Amino acid sequence: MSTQPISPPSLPDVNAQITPYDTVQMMLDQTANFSMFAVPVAGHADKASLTPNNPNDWFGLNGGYGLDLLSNVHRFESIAQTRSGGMRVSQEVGQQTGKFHCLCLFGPDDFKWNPKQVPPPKIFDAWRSQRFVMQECEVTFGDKQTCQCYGIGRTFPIVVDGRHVLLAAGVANLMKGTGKFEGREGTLIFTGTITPQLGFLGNINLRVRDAEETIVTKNELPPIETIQDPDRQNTFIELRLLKHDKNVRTSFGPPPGGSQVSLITPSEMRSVRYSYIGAPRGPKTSMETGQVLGPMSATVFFDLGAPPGTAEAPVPFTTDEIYTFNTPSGEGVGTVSCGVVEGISFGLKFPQAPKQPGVRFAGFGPITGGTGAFAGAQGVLTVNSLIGISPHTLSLMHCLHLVDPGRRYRQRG
Amino acid sequence: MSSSSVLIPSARSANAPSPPATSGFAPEVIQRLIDQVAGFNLYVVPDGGSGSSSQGSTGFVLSETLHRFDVTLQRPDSQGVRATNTFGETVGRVDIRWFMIPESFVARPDRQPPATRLDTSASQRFVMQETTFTFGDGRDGFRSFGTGRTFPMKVGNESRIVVGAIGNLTEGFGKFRGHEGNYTICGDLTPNGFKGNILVRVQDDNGNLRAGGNIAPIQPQTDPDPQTTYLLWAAQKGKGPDQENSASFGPDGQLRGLNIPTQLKLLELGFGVKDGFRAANINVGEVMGREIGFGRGSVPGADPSGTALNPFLFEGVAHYSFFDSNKKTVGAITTNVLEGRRFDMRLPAAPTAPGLRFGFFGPIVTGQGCFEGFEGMFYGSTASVFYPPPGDHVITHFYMARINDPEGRFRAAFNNELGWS
Repeated sequence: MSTQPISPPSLPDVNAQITPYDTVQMMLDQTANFSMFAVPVAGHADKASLTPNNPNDWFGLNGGYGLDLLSNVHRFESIAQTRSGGMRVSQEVGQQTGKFHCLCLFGPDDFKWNPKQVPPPKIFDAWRSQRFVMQECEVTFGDKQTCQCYGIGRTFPIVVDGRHVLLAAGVANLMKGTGKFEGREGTLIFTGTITPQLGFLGNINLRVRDAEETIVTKNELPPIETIQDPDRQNTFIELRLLKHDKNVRTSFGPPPGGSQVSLITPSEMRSVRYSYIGAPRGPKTSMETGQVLGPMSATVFFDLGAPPGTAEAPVPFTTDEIYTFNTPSGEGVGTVSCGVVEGISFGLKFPQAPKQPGVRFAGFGPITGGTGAFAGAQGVLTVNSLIGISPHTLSLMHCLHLVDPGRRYRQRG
Repeated sequence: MSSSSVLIPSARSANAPSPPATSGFAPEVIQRLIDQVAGFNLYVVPDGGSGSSSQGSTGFVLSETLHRFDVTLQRPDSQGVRATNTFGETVGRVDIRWFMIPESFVARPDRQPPATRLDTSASQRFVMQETTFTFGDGRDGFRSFGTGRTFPMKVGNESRIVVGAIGNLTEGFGKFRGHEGNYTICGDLTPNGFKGNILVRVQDDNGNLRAGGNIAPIQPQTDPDPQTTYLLWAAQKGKGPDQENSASFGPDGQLRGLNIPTQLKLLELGFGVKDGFRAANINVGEVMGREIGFGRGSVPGADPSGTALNPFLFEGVAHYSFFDSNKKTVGAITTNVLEGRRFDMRLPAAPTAPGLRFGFFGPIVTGQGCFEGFEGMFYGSTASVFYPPPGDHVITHFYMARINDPEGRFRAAFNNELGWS
């Protein structure tokens, strides 16, 4: 990635302020953030099927041409701290709040986003990185609060201490909600491990627009009730990223070709506690930011000429990103290099500021390198974001999923 | 797997006219004809050569030792599924010229692949450019060509490069002259060469591979791989609605493949080389399980014929349930055939019957019951005569599961002090 910024005159001024920067930041943050942890439902594999309505069609055998994933969803908190010599993450999985069901159908790499069509089948091959469609994807909080999504995902086979491990990540758009989720815009991403029993074990981050603030609360939520760690092989670093202030400028980088442009976006990483409850009358969320962890630089590649993305036709994007972790005193801890390989974006409107453009986007990609404390890092990045355009204001919810069998990133004790 | 579904010609809609449903021969006759076969298991042990499976190697040119290998599955019971694995005496040699190949390389016997380095962290394809088997004093044997894939795995605390591959006989000599057949390989690429099993199926219409006197008992040797257990069984069609094949149609109404159930049966294979190569007749035993599976051609619209140079490629998913004597399931595995190679086969006694023989391999995707939490590979060699549903379907699969079994959970005791338990 080149970091030499240029500003061709034909490109828009993304730093202009159609609406005051702080107002856009406030509108972007009117979002309910759910950081969850999925633990496979024991015994589901015995009943799982890709064709539940036609059990005698063995195309539907789970694990053949797709995966029928069912997990219990739990509260999740992951607080990162940098200190001299490394990163320490306090990672806790809490009480169960609902379920996550996802029917993943493997398809060709070039299969386009299409909620109305199943992909041409491809057989599941755990040793190849494969693309899948999240044909039926639902997160439930009790009986009446549901988010039905459609999305795309990819598997990432890796070798950990000589053992073959299959990671999977996905990104989905909220297509239909019920209860407090009815009529809302939202984006879901996940990253984790496909277990030997064909379950999904890992992190799910859901962001739902909440301009009326009926889900987001400023009140303190009941504390997490920590259960025994269901995943001792992975560490998930939850991050909140913003610009340091309104004076931080975004610039265009060298065009990658075609109608694509590149946007170089600096931001600041903070540790964060995303809390939620699945209350009987509907979920509530709160967010508490912590230590500044260091700078993050992202180069985002997208088609500037594409119309705003919709649920039927989102606009794809990719990124190159570098996360630089420092101690509070400025001592370097290490860097993580990664990038989004499957990204989707949607036009974002603000009822309070109709002329203010914005984008809701999410995606994932593999960790490609690391230095310092992150030397040899393997894993997956997920991003779940809302941004304003002119001014280029950020409200980013990222997760660095680090494969961590030695628990080198975990808080001791 | 329901590999026979690979017989599926090109995609056909639900309303298309049906092709012929029978060869005119009774299924029992066809069954007897396709079971005129020399089916046997070999175990290859490396004894040095110019190849190496270290990172960056491009090929393996080796001469290795062939051993007898008997796998006898016991009737599943409440303790699970177990088999004796008996590694026997030396029976010959195998000379191999194998090369790593790029993912998209179209391998042929007359095409030398570009130099491609082995990556021990990734699954890669390789070509068995030439693999020559010689038995006994060297008079009997065959040359072959094939392709396969690596699968990095951990068995116990040991990182391994597991390989699966399918080979096709290109030329037989001695008793194998004029025979057609294929084999499937599953084992490890070790620093000294290939180590593992070769499951061979050679059609033997005239019976010369099975002619002669008694086959001497296997002479057990020290176990070359105590962390792995092989399970061998057969699968054939049974009678009744439970055993009927059916078409699988996609949401667009197009045929996407076939659903094929079979009965799983105990199986014994055997051979010896004293006074020349000789195989035992295959011994297919009682029913001890059920297969449900889906299969299809791997390349949409591909020519349905399968030749030595252009075998028909297929894939599929299947679920194998193993029953105890009370028909209670004690364990099950789901397997994906990632690579299958099918060859047309002529049965001289039933020349109009669309005979097929094929080999296949892939991973065990997941296990239940006694197989829960275990990993491994699944592979096989098969012959069949197939007509699309509701036509006749006659088949005998030789199925093998190679279980990563460092604690010997799937090993049955072998009643010999030189064997292992």
